[in-house]
Amino acid sequence: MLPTESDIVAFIVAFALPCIVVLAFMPRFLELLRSRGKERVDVFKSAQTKIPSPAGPLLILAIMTGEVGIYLVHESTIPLVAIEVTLIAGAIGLYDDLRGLGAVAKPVLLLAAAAPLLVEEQVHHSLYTGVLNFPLHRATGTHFIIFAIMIVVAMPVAANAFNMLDSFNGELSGFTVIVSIALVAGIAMEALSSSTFNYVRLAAVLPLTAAALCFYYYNRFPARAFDGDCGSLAFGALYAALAIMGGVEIAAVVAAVPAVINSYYIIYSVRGLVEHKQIEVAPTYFGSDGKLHATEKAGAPTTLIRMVILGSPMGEKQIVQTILTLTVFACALSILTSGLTWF
Amino acid sequence: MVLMNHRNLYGLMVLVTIAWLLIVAESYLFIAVVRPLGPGIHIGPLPSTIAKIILTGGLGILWVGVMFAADALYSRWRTSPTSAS
Repeated sequence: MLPTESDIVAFIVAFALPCIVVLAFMPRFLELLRSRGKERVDVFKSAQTKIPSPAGPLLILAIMTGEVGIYLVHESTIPLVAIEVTLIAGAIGLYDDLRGLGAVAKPVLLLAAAAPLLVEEQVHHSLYTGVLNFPLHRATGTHFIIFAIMIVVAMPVAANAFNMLDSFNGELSGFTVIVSIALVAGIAMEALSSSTFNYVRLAAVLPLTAAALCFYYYNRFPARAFDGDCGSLAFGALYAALAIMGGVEIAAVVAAVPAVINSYYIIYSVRGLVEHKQIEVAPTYFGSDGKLHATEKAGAPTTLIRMVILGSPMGEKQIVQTILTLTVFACALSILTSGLTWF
Repeated sequence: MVLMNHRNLYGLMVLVTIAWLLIVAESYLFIAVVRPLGPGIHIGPLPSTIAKIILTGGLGILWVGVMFAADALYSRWRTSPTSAS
């Protein structure tokens, strides 16, 4: 099924509004953060510079404008649920940025980000289907209870996976742009293979892509802004919610495999959920050559960054380029997965 | 333009491919083998329900186990001295 004219209007609005908000207001917002002393040291620079943080609230506002734009065109509840999920995860992240949250409290609180999806589905029965669409074999039967449990678990898992990947200039913003494109491709394939498809599910992804893309301009090396936990948790929770509402959960997991691998290895190697400051042996260290080296001490946690630089120290820009190239590769596999699922 | 270390990148691409193959193969096993073992777990008899839960958990453990084995192999490959060093 091809998109209608109003669908195309929704796509344009969904992409353009967040771009306008980020590009028009980010410089002023960064000035505001700087004037209030809300800055973080960029630890991977030899001359330690302070960067305004968190820019997450403006990114959330940008996503909200895009989703409201879709709502005004289509009056669907999908963009409203996307806004609610983003606000809940963003508020938890903002509290973490300003006051600090424990390593266990954060994922527990993020379970609440699933509430808008579950409540809305109970009220209108049109948000998601309650089936998982697997490659080669298509859909399972409808299992609302199992599916609801998976939604509740998916929120903290996805939000923390994005958060754990937010270490270097441009890493998370670039990663979010790439994986959200995979999401768009997967949902587009689903739409083309279906005779009745609500394109709002696709349009709802575009504010995330647009906000992350424009933020990449400020966040890329050398960074002028950090998103903070506010931005990374909101991006991660929204990504999970959009994958569920779009019916492309498996393809979304495949696209985000670099983040999934990173989280699994960190949690396994430090034996549980811990905050950065609780890790005794740092996985990497900044050498006098201006490059990042992998720690070879026993007990150093395994992270994706450590794997990237294992045996060959790299500069920050080179590390991010490697991770983003790896993400593009994962997204190609995700698009292949979507092809195997829908055609 | 920054030059990337292609050896590490290719190694990590292999790791991502393994993760993807496991997701596709295990989801196929889940649908083709585990699911037909009996009716839905909320209405099925206890033995088939337990078998489904154990097999599903086993698939998850297999994914995690293979990924850690792949990490160990990757780490050994990247830290072992080459003939050039």
